[in-house]
Amino acid sequence: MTLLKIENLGVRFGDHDAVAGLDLSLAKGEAVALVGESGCGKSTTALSVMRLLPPAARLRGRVLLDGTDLLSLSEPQMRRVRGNRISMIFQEPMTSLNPVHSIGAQIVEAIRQHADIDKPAARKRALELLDMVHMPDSARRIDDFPHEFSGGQRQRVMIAMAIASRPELMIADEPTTALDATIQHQILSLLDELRRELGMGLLLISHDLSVVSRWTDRAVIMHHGQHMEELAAKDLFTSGHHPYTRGLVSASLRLDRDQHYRSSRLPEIRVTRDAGDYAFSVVRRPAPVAAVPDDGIALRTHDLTVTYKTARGPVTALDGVSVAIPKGGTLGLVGESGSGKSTLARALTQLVTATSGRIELDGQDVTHPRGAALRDLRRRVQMVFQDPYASLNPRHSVGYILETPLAVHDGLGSAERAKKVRQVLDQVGLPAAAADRMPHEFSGGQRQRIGIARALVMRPSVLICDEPVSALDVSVQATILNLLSDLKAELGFSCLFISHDLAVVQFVSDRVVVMRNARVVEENDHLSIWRRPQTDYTRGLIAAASG
Amino acid sequence: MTVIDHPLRARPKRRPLRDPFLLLPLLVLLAVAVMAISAPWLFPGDPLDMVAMPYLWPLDDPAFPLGTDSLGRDLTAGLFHGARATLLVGISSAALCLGFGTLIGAAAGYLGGRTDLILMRVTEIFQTMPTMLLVIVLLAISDPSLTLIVVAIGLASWPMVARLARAEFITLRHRDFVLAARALGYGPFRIVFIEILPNALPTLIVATSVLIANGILIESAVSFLNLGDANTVTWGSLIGAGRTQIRTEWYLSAIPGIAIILTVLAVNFLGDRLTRILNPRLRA
Repeated sequence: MTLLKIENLGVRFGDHDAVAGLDLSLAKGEAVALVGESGCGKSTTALSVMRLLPPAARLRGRVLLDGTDLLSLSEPQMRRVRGNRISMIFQEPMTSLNPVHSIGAQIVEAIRQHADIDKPAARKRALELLDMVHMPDSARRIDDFPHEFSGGQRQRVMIAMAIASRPELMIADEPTTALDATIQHQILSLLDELRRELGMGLLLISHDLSVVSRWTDRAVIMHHGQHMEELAAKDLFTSGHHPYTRGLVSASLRLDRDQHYRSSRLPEIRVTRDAGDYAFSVVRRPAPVAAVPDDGIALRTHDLTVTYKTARGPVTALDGVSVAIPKGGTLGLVGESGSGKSTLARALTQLVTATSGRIELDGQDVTHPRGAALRDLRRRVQMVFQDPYASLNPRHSVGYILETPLAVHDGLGSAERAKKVRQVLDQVGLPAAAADRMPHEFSGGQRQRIGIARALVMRPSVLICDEPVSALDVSVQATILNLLSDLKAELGFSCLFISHDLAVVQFVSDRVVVMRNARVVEENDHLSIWRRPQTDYTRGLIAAASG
Repeated sequence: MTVIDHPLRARPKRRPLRDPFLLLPLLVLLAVAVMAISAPWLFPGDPLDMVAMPYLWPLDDPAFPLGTDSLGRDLTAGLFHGARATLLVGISSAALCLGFGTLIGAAAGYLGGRTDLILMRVTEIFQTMPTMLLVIVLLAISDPSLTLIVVAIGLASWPMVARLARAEFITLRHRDFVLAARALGYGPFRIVFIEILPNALPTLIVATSVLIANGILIESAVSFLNLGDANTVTWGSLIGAGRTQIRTEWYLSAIPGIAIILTVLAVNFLGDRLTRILNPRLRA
């Protein structure tokens, strides 16, 4: 029994086709995934099913819900569908809830929107819904406000609101992307449980192939608004035929594949466009011979503690952390949000001051450098940030961003600076013309290359990478990881690589540290730590990451 | 090295001058500026000299196209010379506010802590005083001159800029690119003025356009009340001088009034459009 049938859907903004000729069908109680990278039109498709696109969008084709074409409904008719027969949850549970109303009030409102019941009855129903989404201590917490809940709990509230009217179809647009791996697992299993219990269809929009293969029945792969391939989700990793699917699969890292930067490079998807049609190829390169053996320690911390003063008293962000970055090697650092990994990165780059403990760079104490010592440290320890959009000053040209460190530290003349900027741009794979452009003219992956270039322009001996690929698409992630590996082989810097993604850390690291609640939980080499985890926490992370 | 999959995007073409809401204000302000600059050449005498019959209506005598007032002073000359004083007061008071306010706000926002606390309390003291009253008191207790008017308006209006600059700096100082600048070892001076300030500038520029308009209005009001410099013609003083004849010779107040309205509107529109042009993200 077909619940949702999308026929030849097209969405056009101006002269740009966001979705072109998409077909999709979803049976009652079935879970179908819409997979693709950012800008491929998957969210646009979801919003056109809900008819929530801005008026500038021109739609064609048909979207049939139980045989009724949603695109032909009037706005008042459509309002009776939204939140009632189809409901939707979004990626950002922080911003999807209204901060000035209690969660109970918001759920009650969602219930009363489509059901004619009085407030006490709606409140009773809201409690039932909170129990259905396994909100702990629901009776006590129903009057709490959104900021009093964690990210995962907020997403549970969103789900409770979405199932309030027992919808036939739930659309989940990247519902777990902003959440930690273990929480992601809980939310997805909750969605799965509710889908079976309520017999609703689930359209899951995701970029994450492991999530899709584990939690859905079928997957539709999209690229540039076009339908590439449709296949059973369990066959996603094995029997994709389309070159784009195969490229995505080979570019996504998985823990069980044992890929490592010293022995291989990740396959990259190369997209070329010929007369409007996209052609895909997968490029595999051998790894250059990595010559640097692990002797010595580049950067080391002893019992490093960082305490922040907040309005509610001191918070310990790092509690006696001792880690060592091997010379010429990479130390991977894994942890969930709030584990203190970003604080460690900031302490090592002197953006926050250590409360106690010691930091040593090449055997010298650099815990509290002043004046010339601090300048020297800045030159030798550099950082790559997570968000390639926020970390570049939008008001300066790329050339200016790259040459300023040289002017500040080396006092080089402008010709000399320009030469070094061209050189570093070439090293990160950008054309020399990029120097005259502004950051917003670049894609996310290109911006991250600029961020890496800025960190490397002074030839640091240690590079701190704080989640450098977690804001990027799978295929872009592969190219940036390859780039970092190549640059490491070429320039020989040591690296601290922070990520919440175990597979990424496995690929780039020589040694791995697991952090939790401001402390180091476990440390080992990049293979042993996943094969022989010593703590329950690490085992839990591995279980969540293996999907 | 690696080949990039996305070619660099072509730059969007910009034609801001096609926008009538940018073009018209620019033309108005250009006209006012030309009036101000050309006044000493076109009307070399003192605009306060009696040169013709009193109460000449506009267009009555081609030598005095906008007519004359009760003392036979040329309104055209007054308008041109008034543009000088009005524009000067508007721009210099706004510049004073912008400079001083940004400095205080940037220091408070970027340094935070005790500096912030002290600077903001001082700002609040100034903010609680009614602008108009402060200006009037300052002018009443001393010898009024254009410089004093400028300083008085500046002194009364800078807290708004300071608070705005502080708010911008507080949000911007935690942004990743500022952290990156600190990690690269840039000094505080470079971070504040070269990294953060250009990002805060669009907001401050809109505020400044409001301040220019505000300065013009305050100056006009002060001159209207006869508290201004008696030896300088401004648009406000023209209205003030013409107010007793408003029922018969209404043009004496209406013409400088229209000039004020047009200039203030033009400044506001220009500020509005400038933010769009200055924001690199909205350029496309």
